[in-house]
Amino acid sequence: MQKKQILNLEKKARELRSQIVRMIYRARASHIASAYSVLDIVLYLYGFILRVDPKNPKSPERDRFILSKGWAASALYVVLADKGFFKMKELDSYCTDGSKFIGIATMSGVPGIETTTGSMGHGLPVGAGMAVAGKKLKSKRRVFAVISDGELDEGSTWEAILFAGHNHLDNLVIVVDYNGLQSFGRTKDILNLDPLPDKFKAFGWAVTETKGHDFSFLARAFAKLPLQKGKPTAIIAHTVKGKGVSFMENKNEWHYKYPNEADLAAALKELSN
Amino acid sequence: MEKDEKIIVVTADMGYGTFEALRDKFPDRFINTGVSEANAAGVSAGLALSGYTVFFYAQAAFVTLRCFEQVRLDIASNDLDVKLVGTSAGFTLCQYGVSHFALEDVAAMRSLPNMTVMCPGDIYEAEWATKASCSFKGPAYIRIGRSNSGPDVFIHPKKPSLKIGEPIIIRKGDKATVVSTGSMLFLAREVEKELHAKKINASLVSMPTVKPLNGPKTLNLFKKNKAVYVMEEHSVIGGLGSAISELVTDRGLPYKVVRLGTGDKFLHVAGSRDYLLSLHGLTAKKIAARIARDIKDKK
Repeated sequence: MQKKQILNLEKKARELRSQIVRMIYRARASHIASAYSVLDIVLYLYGFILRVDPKNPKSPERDRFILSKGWAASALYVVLADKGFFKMKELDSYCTDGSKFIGIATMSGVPGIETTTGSMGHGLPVGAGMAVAGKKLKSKRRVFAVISDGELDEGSTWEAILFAGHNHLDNLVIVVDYNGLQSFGRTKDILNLDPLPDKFKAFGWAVTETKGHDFSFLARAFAKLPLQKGKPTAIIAHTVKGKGVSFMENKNEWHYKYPNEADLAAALKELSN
Repeated sequence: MEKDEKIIVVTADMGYGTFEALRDKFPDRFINTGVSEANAAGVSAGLALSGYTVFFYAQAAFVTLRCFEQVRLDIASNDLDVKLVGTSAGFTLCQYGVSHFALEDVAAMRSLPNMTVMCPGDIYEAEWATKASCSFKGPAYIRIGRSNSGPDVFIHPKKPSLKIGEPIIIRKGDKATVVSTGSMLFLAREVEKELHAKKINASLVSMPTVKPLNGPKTLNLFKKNKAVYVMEEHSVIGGLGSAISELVTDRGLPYKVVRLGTGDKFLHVAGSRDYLLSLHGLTAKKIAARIARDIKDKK
């Protein structure tokens, strides 16, 4: 990836983070830190990897993108708007009365939302079903699911990991947004996932690790898909919860609380630099 | 499956001795997810989102309750074309205990928006329910019990004409109305015979649909007698008896609905299906006696 492309992406990511904090401030919504954790991954996928057409969002051959960590929906909404699925202005209604832009990704008629997620451990089984369907229909579609590290606590996630490995779903890619924090605290303290790559390998997956906020690393991680023919791909992206606004980084309180006016101003100032 | 190549079967490792022929005939449209109902429900949703009509098959207790949240969110809330087929409903697996009894499944499925709930009572009704579930796009639960251990698998003398939501009157009587859903149909027929022996001419009605109910046609059952006796191999909480009671109370009608199902308790014993039903008072003799007593009291 060229230096200029990277600089453009970084600039775009700062703009979108600003948009997210404004939306969340207005709506007094939660999950800003989760959105910041995953934003760069979603931005990169929509910019360079996903075969989707905002003008024809239901095209049968499109790649499927599932934000299994649906509570970071604000990150997906701003990227979809940026790509032209709908107007950025529509996001003014985010989380307000009657809005289809719900705080957790829901099949509410938002173009580009493929299934309802956010209850943890749902995205991967549905994605595995889409991947199986793709194989059966001899479609070139690929299925991408972004899951949180907390979702790896859920049995249904591991059921799907076992299923995808057994069925050689090499059209399925999952990205683990591995920020090391879950609802109550550190993943390491609550329910340790390490060594995570070994677990995926043992279940028949091809695995790589990357830096989830570094576009040159992301470009390398997604350069060749599937990583290995006949195996589903797991990309473990090391991320920082709240990335981009220093006082939110690695602070679990920003999973829950919304920024006040001073927080908003400080965040926007930092993001404009 | 021969006529419609968009139909696909998902099983959570159930169907031994049943599905082998189907698997061999349609290997591309048979998916065994292994014993993982939550994943199977999600996979079913993913297939339906890709244009398939999915039949997701497992035991009644597991296809509904084990993965209830996946059914609710992935399938029902997205209004997907997934038909849940639950076998061994009620006390079918009578020697297995509470883990394998399915007595709350109808209540759970009935509470979900978009969900159609069908409990066929004999082979004709089962065939109808399967085909009827394909007449619309959307989720359905088809509950299969084992109503009878004998060779008699039909109640209806010939293929009946059925419509979703409508009761079917098998025998017309004027003194009492016995309504049955699903696997209780054989016992309901015994009740009707017992009543006949007592010179009480009773109507026998089968209701293979629990949701949605055709309101006017269901309320018509009260026309002759202002009371109906609803038999089901399911908890009295949340099944057909509840559904009919709701119809009646919502309209403030002066009718009586007697819910004859399993009571609000778990059974921690083994035994035959008939024995377990009897512990909940569900025998032809007891039910017929109860109805006869009610008629006598009314006079």
